[in-house]
Amino acid sequence: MEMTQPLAPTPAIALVRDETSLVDRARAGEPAAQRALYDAHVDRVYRVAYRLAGREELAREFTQDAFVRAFQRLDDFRGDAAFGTWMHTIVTSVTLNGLRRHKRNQDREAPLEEAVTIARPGGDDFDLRERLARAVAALPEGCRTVFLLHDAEGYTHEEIAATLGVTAGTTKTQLSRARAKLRVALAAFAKEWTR
Amino acid sequence: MTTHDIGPDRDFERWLAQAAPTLNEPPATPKDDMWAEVAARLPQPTARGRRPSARGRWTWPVMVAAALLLGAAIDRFLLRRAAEVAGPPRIADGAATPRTDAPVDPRKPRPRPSDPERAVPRPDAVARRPEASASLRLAASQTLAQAELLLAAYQADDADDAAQLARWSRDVLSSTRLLLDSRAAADPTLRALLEDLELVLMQIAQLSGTPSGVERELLDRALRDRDLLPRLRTAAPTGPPTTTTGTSD
Repeated sequence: MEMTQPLAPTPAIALVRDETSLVDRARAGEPAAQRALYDAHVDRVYRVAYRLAGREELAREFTQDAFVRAFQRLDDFRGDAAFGTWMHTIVTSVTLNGLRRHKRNQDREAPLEEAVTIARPGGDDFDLRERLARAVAALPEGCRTVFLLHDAEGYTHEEIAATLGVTAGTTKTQLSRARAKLRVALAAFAKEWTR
Repeated sequence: MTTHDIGPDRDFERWLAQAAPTLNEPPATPKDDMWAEVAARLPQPTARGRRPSARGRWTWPVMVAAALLLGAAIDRFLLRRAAEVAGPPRIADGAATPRTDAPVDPRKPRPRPSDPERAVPRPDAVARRPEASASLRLAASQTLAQAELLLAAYQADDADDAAQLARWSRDVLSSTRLLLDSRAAADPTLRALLEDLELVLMQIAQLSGTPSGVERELLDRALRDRDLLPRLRTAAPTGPPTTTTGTSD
């Protein structure tokens, strides 16, 4: 009896199947599958960690922690969302928690040094960007996270909302607040963006 | 000027849209360096190529409870048999209070070996029965091993998963309480360890969200002062004793 050849899956379906198979193999502890998943997602994960942390050593630490945690908890990944989305949620959570912990330690260790650095004056375009960076760092955590993920990294509100476990309406509100606060913080430089 | 009295400024937003991507702009990903670290921290595959399932962690309380129930059932069976042999009054007392943490009275006459059928087993003698003590020993060693894992996870700064740690802690707590109510707690060293452990587990079980600095400080101090992890590490691998004072299997 002649067997009919099944239709080839579309590239997107094939990709999902490949990833599901990779996740299953990684769950079984297969190092090659873990490495393949890591290779497929590490750039995006590292970018998010770096955007939020702003320092290479912290971004490395958070990226590593995120992957270790993900591989240790692969049993909790049910495949409802893409692995990349799940990974993105983990790295955001790891990074935000890591930054809070880091800030607590810094507050205990070097409050004066921090205050002196922030008070440094400046006037040219480099300083404006420097001031923007500091103003962003001073934003409330929710606003800062949404601003960096949306305006700096280019994620959509829906993606950010899924990662943070809030609604897209909330992330839009936080983004508006972030921009308004930045505009106030940089008001002295208004001529730079009006020319 | 406040954030409330300004409307959207197109020039500013245009400038911001250009400037924002330059903020914290990531360098090239140090892929291989980071992978080396990640791979080193991952559990090694077992001989069958499968690492222990994280889900397996949640099945152990059932095993511990089953072991304790089995131990209790064997106790009751042995005590009932002893009661049938030796007469009701004394054994009835023993059966009603299976916990045997009362000190052994050395003045009490021991049953003569030459007349085993007439022997009235004291509760601690029942504890010596291998079939009764094995299940308790298993339950105790599993509980202590899980407690050690839990405390290690807490110390490894997994505290952002406080809710999960709290659930885990409640599972361990239910087992430590069962153990404290069993003959395993007749051993004063194990009892002291279980009681100290219970206090710390209760603190972890109450964690929710991200623990505050004060919560962490209290927990860290409790762990440090009670020297819990070293005591657990000493107790867990060999399996805690399940015998009464002065006896051993």
